[in-house]
Amino acid sequence: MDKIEQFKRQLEEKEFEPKMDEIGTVIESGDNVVKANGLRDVENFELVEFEGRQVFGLALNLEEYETGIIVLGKGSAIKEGDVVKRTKKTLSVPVGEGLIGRVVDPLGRPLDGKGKIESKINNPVERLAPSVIERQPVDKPLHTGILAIDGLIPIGRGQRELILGDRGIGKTAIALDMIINQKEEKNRPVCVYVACGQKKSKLKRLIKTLEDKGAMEYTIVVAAFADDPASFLYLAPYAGCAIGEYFRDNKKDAVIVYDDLTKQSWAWREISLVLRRPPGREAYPGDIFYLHSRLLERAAKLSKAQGGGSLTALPIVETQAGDISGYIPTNVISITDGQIFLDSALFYKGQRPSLDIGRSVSRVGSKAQVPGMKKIAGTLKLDLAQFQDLERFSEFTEELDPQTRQMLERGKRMRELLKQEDLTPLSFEKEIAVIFAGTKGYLDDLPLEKIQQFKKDLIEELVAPSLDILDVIREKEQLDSKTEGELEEVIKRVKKSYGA
Amino acid sequence: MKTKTAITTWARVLAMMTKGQPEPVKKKIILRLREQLKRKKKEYLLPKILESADKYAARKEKITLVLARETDSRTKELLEQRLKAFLGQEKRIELKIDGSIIGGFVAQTEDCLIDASVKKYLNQLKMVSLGEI
Repeated sequence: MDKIEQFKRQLEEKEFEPKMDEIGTVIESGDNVVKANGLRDVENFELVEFEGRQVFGLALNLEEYETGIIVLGKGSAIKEGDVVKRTKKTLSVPVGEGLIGRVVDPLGRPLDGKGKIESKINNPVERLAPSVIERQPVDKPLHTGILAIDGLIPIGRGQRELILGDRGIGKTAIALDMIINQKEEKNRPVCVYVACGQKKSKLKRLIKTLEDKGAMEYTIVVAAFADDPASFLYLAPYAGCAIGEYFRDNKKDAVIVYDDLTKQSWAWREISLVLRRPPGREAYPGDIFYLHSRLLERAAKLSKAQGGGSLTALPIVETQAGDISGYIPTNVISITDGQIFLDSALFYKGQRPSLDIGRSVSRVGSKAQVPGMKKIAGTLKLDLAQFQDLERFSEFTEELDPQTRQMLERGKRMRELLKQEDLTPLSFEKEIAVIFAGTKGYLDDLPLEKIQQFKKDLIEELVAPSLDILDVIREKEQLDSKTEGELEEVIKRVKKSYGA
Repeated sequence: MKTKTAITTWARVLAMMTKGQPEPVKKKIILRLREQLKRKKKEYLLPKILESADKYAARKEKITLVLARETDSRTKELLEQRLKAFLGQEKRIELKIDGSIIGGFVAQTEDCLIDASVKKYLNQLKMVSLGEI
């Protein structure tokens, strides 16, 4: 009885009066792009519904007599003559806490089989980025757990840092390490991973890793697979951004990884060509720059008046044969606040992460670096760059003065020290301790092949319950003289076991 | 311009220009179009343009009224009058019978649709009960 009453009440709230719908007729359909006439007052980026097909589309090309629509689903079901109806809504996705730990498609539908998404809020997929007044400079660090990045090219919350490099040399691994490292972070940000054009098997592995490391507790995955329609690949980054923005606007921190924007560009090129938009360089449409700039501008650190939330963007772009001057890489480099460039030559030499120090930069992150890290790693980038020059020079000569020889030896050890296996991110206090050992010259008399083991032993020693060095660094975010002295003692103690 | 697009564009323009014009004016417009096409060596497109223009005009001026079953002439007349008042007096009504709408009616022109069918009502009930709307 109660259920009938409940249903009656449900019905009373709804309006079932017939309404006049504005419609159009499909005149051409193919490659997941539809052309329709009618739809007189349709707006750009409006959601339209294909009557009787349970498929939606997105109006993109508004011409005098026709409308170009990208199909958000199975396009093969749509036939010439089908009725397409205006919904008078812009495309939006469910957002909120209910999405945390879930895997969704670009329309916000669950893909993980864990049931309905509990969310009552929908945010539009396309939104204007915060204005200059609403922003403030980056002032909080985002620790990636990767020594080379946190020491040399630090990232701040609200920054946009591009990760680029050839295929299969660890771009995703950096993003994954960053996500895993947030587990123990203070004010842990919500992580959004946008898989754009990825293989299902790769994403499955990635989710499994995140689950195993306990990182899915604070991560949302937005997935558009390689076999999804181009419209999904095009929309996935925007949908992920809308999900991340919810946290930014609600005084929280969020990080979003776009993996990768090259595939999104390909999708947009495909759609644009089918819509007969004029092709430009490499057949990309004229608005390919705007495609990425309007997406990445939405990453921001909001001012205190706006709640102080942040959205950090880590877009990934694939290069061809290490060519950093390609069309899409240069576009995204100019939009972002720095880039992490991975070099395939270094990767195959065994350096992980294969970071090219010379070509990687972070334009704003150093301002957000914790004082302790700034103190010990401040000149590290310059020192390593000088070492690389010297190393090249030393290939031509054998006669080197002792000072140069010492610089070379320390550089080699620092390079070795910064090597780090995948899925082993370090908390920032451990990073400070490790880099301290290197920059203060404690490793100069250790054999090169023992550096990695020394690093492991030093960390093991430092996490011993009897020591509070790491806790102090974590608490104060800096290395005071007392802690420095204690740390030196521990380093010397570990070194003794190496006979040094 | 691709042939198909050219035919559609010409047909639309022709249908708009000839709409409501007396027969001699229509003829004159078509002859002028023929001249233009001849100059562009595309005279062969004329029959297709004319056919497409006729279809376009017919589609523009048509209201498709779908009923679930045959109904008495009085109801039909009343319905037609109301629809014409709402969607345009000059439009002609084409009646179709489709049992799948169960009851009520569906009226459709080129750019609007009024679905007052029982089928739609039942579908909405289903969606409410499933919590989808």
